[in-house]
This record gives sequence, C-alpha cells and structure tokens, in this order.
Amino acid sequence: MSFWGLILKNLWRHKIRNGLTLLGVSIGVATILALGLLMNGFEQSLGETLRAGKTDFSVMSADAPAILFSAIEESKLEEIEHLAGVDHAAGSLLAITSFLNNPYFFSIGVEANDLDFLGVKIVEGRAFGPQAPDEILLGKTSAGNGNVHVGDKVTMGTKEFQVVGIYETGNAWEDGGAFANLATIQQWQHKEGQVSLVAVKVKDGFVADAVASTLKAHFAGQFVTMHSIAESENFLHSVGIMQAISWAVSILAIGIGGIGVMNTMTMAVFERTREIGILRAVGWRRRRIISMVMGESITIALIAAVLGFIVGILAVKGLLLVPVVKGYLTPVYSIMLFVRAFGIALAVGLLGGLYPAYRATRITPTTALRHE
Amino acid sequence: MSDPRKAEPLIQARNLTKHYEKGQTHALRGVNLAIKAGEFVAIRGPSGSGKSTLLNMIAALDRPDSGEIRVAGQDLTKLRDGASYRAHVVGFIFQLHNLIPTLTAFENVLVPMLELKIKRKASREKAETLLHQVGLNGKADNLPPELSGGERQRVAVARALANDPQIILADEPTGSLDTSNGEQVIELLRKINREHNVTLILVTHDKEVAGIADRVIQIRDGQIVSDK
Repeated sequence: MSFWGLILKNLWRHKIRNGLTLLGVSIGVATILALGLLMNGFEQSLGETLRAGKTDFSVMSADAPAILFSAIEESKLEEIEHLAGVDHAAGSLLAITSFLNNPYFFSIGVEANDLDFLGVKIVEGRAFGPQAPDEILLGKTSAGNGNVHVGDKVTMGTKEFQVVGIYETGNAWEDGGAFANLATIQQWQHKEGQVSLVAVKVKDGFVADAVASTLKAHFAGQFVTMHSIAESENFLHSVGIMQAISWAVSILAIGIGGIGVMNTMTMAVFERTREIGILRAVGWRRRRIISMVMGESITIALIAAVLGFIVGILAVKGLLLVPVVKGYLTPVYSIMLFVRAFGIALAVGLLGGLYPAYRATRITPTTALRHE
Repeated sequence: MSDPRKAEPLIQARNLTKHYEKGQTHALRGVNLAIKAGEFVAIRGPSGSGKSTLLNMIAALDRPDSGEIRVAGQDLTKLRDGASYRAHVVGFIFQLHNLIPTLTAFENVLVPMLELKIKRKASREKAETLLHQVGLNGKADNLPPELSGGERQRVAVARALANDPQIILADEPTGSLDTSNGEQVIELLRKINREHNVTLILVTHDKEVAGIADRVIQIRDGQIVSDK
C-alpha cells in the first residue's frame, strides 16, 4: 500500500457519500464545458456569417441595435458600387419567421444573381429564378429537419413557397435558414426598398480596410462596416453577456462544488479523529496529514472533472438531436476549454480541502486517543 | 574510555509538572525519572494518577508546564512537532481501537513506514517479517474487525516495531483483553524487549502485568511513590 493507495482506500470507505459529492462537482464541470462548447460554436458561426462567399466586408446601419434591425435604403447600393475600389455590392434582407417547427427561422432575401457571390452553393435542384416570387431555397439543415425535398410546397407565415433547391454555405445559421428573392422578402416583411446588410467586394489592387474607410467617410457615419459579425459592437456586447454568464456559472460551480467537497471532507475528518490521532502518534507529521486530506479532496475533484467531461460532451451531443437546435449550434472543441474546466475542478478540490485539512492538523493525538 | 553519552540514561526527566483545567488538576507534580536503554519498566497507578500523562510526555505527545525531559539526547520540550521524533525513536501501543479499521493487518504495519524514507519493497518485506514475529503470518490480509482482540493487539505490536524504535510505549495494552490474550501480548512484548534490546515502558493498573517488568514505578496524585 502506498500513500496514494491509502487515499483511495479512505475515499472508498464512503463510496455513496463521496460518489454523490463527486457527481455534484461533475455536473458543475459538465455545465461549464457544455456552455463553453456551445459558446465557442456560436462565436465561430457568427464570425463566419459575413466572411462567406467572395465578400470582403459588410455594411450595416450605424444606429441599428443588432444586424436584424439594420435598415439600408436599396438605392444606396448603387452609390456604394460607384465608390472608388468597390467591385460589387450585394444587398440582403434578413427576416425571422416561424417555420418548420422553428420559431426563429432565418429567411434571407437576395437577388438571384448574388447567390454565388454570397457563397450559397446549390447541392440539389436549382437556384430560384430572378422573377419567381414563389420559389425558395432551403438550407441543408432546415430541409433535413423539416424532411422537405426539392419540389415540395412549404408555407412560411401566410405565404406559400415552392422549394426549388437545397443549398449549403457551411455556416450553421445560414444552413438552418432559407434564401428567396429579395423583392419577395421585402414585400412579405413590408420592407420595400430596404436591405439589412450590404456585402461588398473590393476591386483587385485595393485594400479592403481603405475602401471601408472611404465608404464610411462618404456616408458621414450613417454606416458601419465589418469583416464579420464578430466585429460588431452588438455582437461583442452579446458575447460579453454570454461570457459573464459563463463565468458566473463557473464561479457558482466552484462555490457550490467547493462547499460540497468541504462538507464531505470535514465530516470525514471528524469521523476519523481517532485515526488521525493514531497516525500522529505513530509519527506522521502535520504535513502528511494535510497531504492526505487534500489528496482525498483533490482526487474527488479530478475524478469529477473526468466524469464531467464525459457528461458535458454527451449532453451537448444529446442537445444536438433536438431538431430546433440541430444545425444552429455546432460545438467547437478547444483545448483551452478543457484546461479551464479542469482548472476549475482543481480549484474546487483545493478550496474544498483547505478547511478540513486545517481541522485535521488541529487534532492533538492525546485528545484524539480519548475520542471513541 | 567511557563515552558520557552512553552513561546518560535513555530517558531523563527532571521535575516534570503538568496542570490541567486551568491549574485545578495537577496531573504531574515534580516527577524525576531516569530509564536506561533496554529496561522493561511498568508504570502503575490508579486512574487519574498521572501515569498516562507521563507516558504522553515521553512520546512528545504532551509538554510539561515546567521541568525537563530528554530522550535519546533530544530535549523534548524544544521540539516544535514531536512527529519526527516519534517516527524515528518511539513505537506506540494503545489500549483500544488501535488500528485503522479499513486497512488490513499488513497495511496497518506499513503505516508508520510511509513517513520514513523506506523503499516499497523493503517496507513490504519488513511488514511481513514483523507479522511473522508476532505470530500472525496467515492473517496479513485480514481487516481488524475480522481479528480477535488479542490478534489486533499483536498487529499493534508489529506496527510499533515497524520503525525500529529505541523505545516502545504501551498504554494499557492488555486493558481490553481477557487474561490469556493479555498474557500472550505481555509475553510478546517481553520477548521483543529481550531480543531486540528495545526499552519497554508499559502503563498499567494491573498488578500482575506490572509484576513481569524488571522495574515497577508507582504513581499516585502526580508523584512517584515507589520505584523498585
């Protein structure tokens, strides 16, 4: 038996009690991990949204609180295209509707000849015609979720559409939505002559950043430009909120987990008062007693971390089976996330073990040996 | 040619006093004691006489309020934590619930060696030899609850020997055993005292047990009343 073996034996004595504490900590770790995986995915997919296709940067109205509320007059498109260095400008109107059991379905209105420019790749069927108000393209994910095929008729809101093709952009948000003619979406949303975003391609030999500056100066602060949604202030604000939530959950997990471990270990130390007295009497130094108690609490936390990783990953995989979620949330695995969750578990073990270890060193062998 | 350190007794106590409960109880009142290496000493006295307090001081588990105690050349009153001293010099045997209940007899004997820098293989061999010595070869893998009272106390004896101590301190080692088991344990301790030249100090209130020792010190009300 080694010192480590003794620690494991001590933990095994109260399997149920320690198991429940371990489960509690692992739920905390799983939550932190799952939140992080989804947040990473969310950030990444939004970051990709505007980078798609041949676009160099996008334009939105400066006063809009979010991309969805950005409103640019369609007439400005031509003005943008005439600016020095601009090769092409494509407007798109974003709308959110309830469709195919999804209350937050993204439909995007664009000109038919801009589909390729925006990176929309038809994988089945064909693109909608320029003058076909009833034709629609469904994203690969949304078609899969709704079990819709090329040739089917679908109803969006009160309007009926004919599915003419299935597309893929590689972006989770877009692939979970639909593309239709700009005019159709404008009419349907009562936003005639309006677009949400303008995607801009810069001419060869021009620097995107310089062209973006010229554009902003030309429209005297009416517009902002971004290379991805990740650059917009609103996005940063939402990410900030999500990060705050994620940290709050982490701190809660440390607090609750730490107190749980502390409770279990303090109980264990009190129950083993006599034993600790014996160990001190046979020559164990305080330092070794501390190592034993801390070793037990850290072991609980580290096993909980491993269990939490498994539970967290399975939980995310389970969540992705839900049709509404599928396609929108793509977990993005990063080493840092696991390191952070592991670090949090370690902190739980350290914090939870401190007080009981301190109590254990206060046990004097003479009093302990009188303890029955 | 005489080495002065050799002439010095292994345990030397001068004028030890100890008070408990804010000076109300006098556990020890000026105890003077010298014990040579290899002696088998029984400390006798009624409960509350101060005999366990004296034993705890020799083990550096307790400190005197005044006076001096030196063991094997070390001033015990100056030790910050007596653990290292106990790990190297002393083996301890208690009356009751002496063993870690979840560890086997073999593992219980290994416990003191975890504190010493002994190689895994060497400590395992040692634990085996010790269990053999105390007559428990077949019981190495038994947990304390599976052993009889006498067997448990023999495991405790083996554990007390694990660190090759100069002194074995036994606090009422037969207190919870029947006569026959008690005799066996005392006989074992006696044998170890002779064969290993280990100094044996045994606290008891049992006259017969004390009778086996070479020297019997009687304590009453915190003072030595007889020493023969």
